[in-house]
Amino acid sequence: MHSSLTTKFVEDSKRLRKELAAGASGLSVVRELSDSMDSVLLDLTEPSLGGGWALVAIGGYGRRELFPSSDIDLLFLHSRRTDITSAVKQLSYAIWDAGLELGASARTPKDATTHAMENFESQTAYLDARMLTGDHSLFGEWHASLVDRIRRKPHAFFRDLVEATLSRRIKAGDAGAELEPNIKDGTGGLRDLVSLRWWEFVGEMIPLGQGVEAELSSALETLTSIRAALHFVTDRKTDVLLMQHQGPVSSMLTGASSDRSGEEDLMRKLYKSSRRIAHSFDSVLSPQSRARGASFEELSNDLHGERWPEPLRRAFLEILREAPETRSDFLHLSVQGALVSAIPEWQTIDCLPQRNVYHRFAVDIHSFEVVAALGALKKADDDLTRRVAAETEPVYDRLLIAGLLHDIGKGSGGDHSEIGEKLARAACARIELSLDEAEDICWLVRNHLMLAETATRRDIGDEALIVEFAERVGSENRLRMLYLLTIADAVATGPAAWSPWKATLVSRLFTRVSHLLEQGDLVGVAATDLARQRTEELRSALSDFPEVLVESHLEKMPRAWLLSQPTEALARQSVLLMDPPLGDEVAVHPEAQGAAGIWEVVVIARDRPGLFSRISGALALHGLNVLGGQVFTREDGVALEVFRVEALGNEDHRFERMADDAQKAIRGRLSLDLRLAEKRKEYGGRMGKGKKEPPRVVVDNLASDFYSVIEVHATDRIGLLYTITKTLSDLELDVHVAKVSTYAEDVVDVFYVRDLDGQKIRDPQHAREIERTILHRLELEGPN
Amino acid sequence: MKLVSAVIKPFKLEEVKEALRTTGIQGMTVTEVSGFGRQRGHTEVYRGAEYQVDFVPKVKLEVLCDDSQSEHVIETIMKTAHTGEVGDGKIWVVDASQVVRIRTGEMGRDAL
Repeated sequence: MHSSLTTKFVEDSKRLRKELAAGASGLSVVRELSDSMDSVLLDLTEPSLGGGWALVAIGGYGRRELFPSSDIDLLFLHSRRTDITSAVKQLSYAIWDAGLELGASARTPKDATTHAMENFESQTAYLDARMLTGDHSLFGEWHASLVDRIRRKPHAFFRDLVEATLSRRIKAGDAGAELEPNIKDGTGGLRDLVSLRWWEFVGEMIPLGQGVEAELSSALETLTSIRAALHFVTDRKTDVLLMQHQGPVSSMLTGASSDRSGEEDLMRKLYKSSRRIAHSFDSVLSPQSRARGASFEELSNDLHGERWPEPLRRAFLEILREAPETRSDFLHLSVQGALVSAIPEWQTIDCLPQRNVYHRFAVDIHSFEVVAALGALKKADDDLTRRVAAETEPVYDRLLIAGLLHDIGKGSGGDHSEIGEKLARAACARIELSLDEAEDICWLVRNHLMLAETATRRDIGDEALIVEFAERVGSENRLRMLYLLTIADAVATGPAAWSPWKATLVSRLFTRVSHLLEQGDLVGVAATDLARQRTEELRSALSDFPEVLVESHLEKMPRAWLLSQPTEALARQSVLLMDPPLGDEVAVHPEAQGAAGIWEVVVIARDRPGLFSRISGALALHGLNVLGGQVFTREDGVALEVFRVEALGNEDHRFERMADDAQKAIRGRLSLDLRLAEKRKEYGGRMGKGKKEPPRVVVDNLASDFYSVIEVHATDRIGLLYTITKTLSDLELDVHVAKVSTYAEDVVDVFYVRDLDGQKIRDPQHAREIERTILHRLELEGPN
Repeated sequence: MKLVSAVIKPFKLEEVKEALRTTGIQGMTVTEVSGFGRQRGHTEVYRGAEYQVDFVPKVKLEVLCDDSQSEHVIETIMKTAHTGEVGDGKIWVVDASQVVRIRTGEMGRDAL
């Protein structure tokens, strides 16, 4: 029975949808929709109209702004005596038939006022009340008295308005920043602008200036048309502009087919409008001075040349350093255009939306958040982070600038880290930073994803990876800044980006790389170059060999080997490694060194447990005192052991015989224990006259990230290295490096070991067992 | 039908995912998890101070598949996630008595 009436509204709505798509103003569309609804309701109520009641539109509808899928908010104002049941029924059915939601209440003027004074939401909805039809004096008197009552206590109204705004903003988020903004209730949304108008109506007119007023009208138009389009597109009462709807909304409003740049433009416009609204309303909500922002703004307006004067730089740093306020300060500067005029490179990311659901905020807001997060890291709950932040204090300013600029390359197409580095370089020059500061900042911008990506995608248990990473970073200071920037970037990105899971991986990689850099002996930018240079030199030194063979050899040798010795030694060893012995054969190659009696002994064999200890035993047996030893294992299982020995006494063919004995020992045909015991007896009188310190063993897990370091302090004796390394081998430990230092009769042997799984010895009981076993063996063999 | 679950090293995820896809597995669930097995927790040392890490970060994969596919899925995960070091993870399989695709209401093998 009502269908013909409501059909009119549905048809008007269809027509207005087309008009909006054809470029009509959003405000005119919602006004026409409101008018169309007015006429529907009037037609429906005319027949039953009697005295003593009034049909009142409230809220947005009261302001003559009806969105396509919004509720129809009505108040049936009636005197106590009037029965309005049938009128209410009739209207409700008609509105439901049109597929719309009705938000209606029936109240007497007294009820309505009491309700308004108790419920702030209704109070503001009633402020916008507009009578559609009915008893003029009933409505007129009620509304005037309500307004009067509210205006008498503006402070109460203001307090409630602030409270309602804050809780609404917390719930709905920031329309000027978020990827999926709430256009109505978010910060800078339509509700903020209406709230500003309410305050002007109840409290005082706020002189915002003509320019700002013009901007606000255009912002109102922008948000209104976007919200209307969103309602049309989704056919639902929804105020959150989801990513999936940004394309359709943009193409409805522009008439162009939806593409990435169209969506980007839509979001930029939305962000700009919302920020203008939020900025104006905030200046009313909290009118305190903006000292920091103000001086930057002023100085940037006076900026004539390209370069920043000292006071501008000082103001800039002050803003950066004020962690919690940083975001709002920068936002203020961005709305006022000061940021772009001071740093023109900022233009591309000003109001730039992110296109990745991983993110929460627009690119520029995210950057402000990162600066704020960097400041907050100094008070982080996590001990490690707090400590790293404290150590970075002397260079924190450049870290903050890097945080602000880290994503400045976004929105230009291409790799944003690469483009960002260039833009950051230009910005640094403008700010007149020192070369050193600029280098660090550009490096951080270029590599800001490196730590997070490596930690989550690569095997951080791989030593070569850690070495390579350390070389790319180059210094502990940069590593610390990168670590902090990584955390701040993730924290500011969104809750999914920084989990304890990821934090563990990142801090693990960080501590390992840090350790390597701290030790300093393995790495440095020079080490990469050195390794590369040595590889080249080896290639030419080995040019007589087939290229395939050489390349496969170089590829399979551990990096540490390339850095361990001069090229000539590496080349000699490479030649030997071209044709490694098979099965249980052992190849021994002595080479006299410069100093008399000092030899380098290169041993090559298939890797097997106990190889190192047997070779050192055979060396000891032939009076070759080991000064140091290193073990390298090629990926195909060929072991290369390099000993530096001192030849005691004169023996002919000692190396041949030593090789022979080593071979026998490996085949189980010679007992090194027995032979060395005999030799010790023979030499017993000649060695070890001084006072003996008891031996000491220390297992140190702090010195290296990849190996446990075992230090043995003992009195020198024949075959000491053999005894210790045999014990280590019995305990299933792999020796990577052995260093021997002799101080008169005292020896300190240092071993870098891992268990057969390639792990350090983490279990304290296991470490204790190792200590006790070594001491036990040394004791068994007596002081000599 | 079987539910194959696997806990693997995080950096192996891409490789395993690709390998499973080439064997025709259409979908999987991936979760960031933490835990410990033999690898236990560990201590990170930063400039002399120790920071205890009780759990090791891992990735958990869950794949629903037909009985006939499960051996192949296990083998694929095993091969690709293997490094030979401690902490490579584990694979376990349980029977899935029913599977329903929510959108269409398809059940059993059709829902895989």
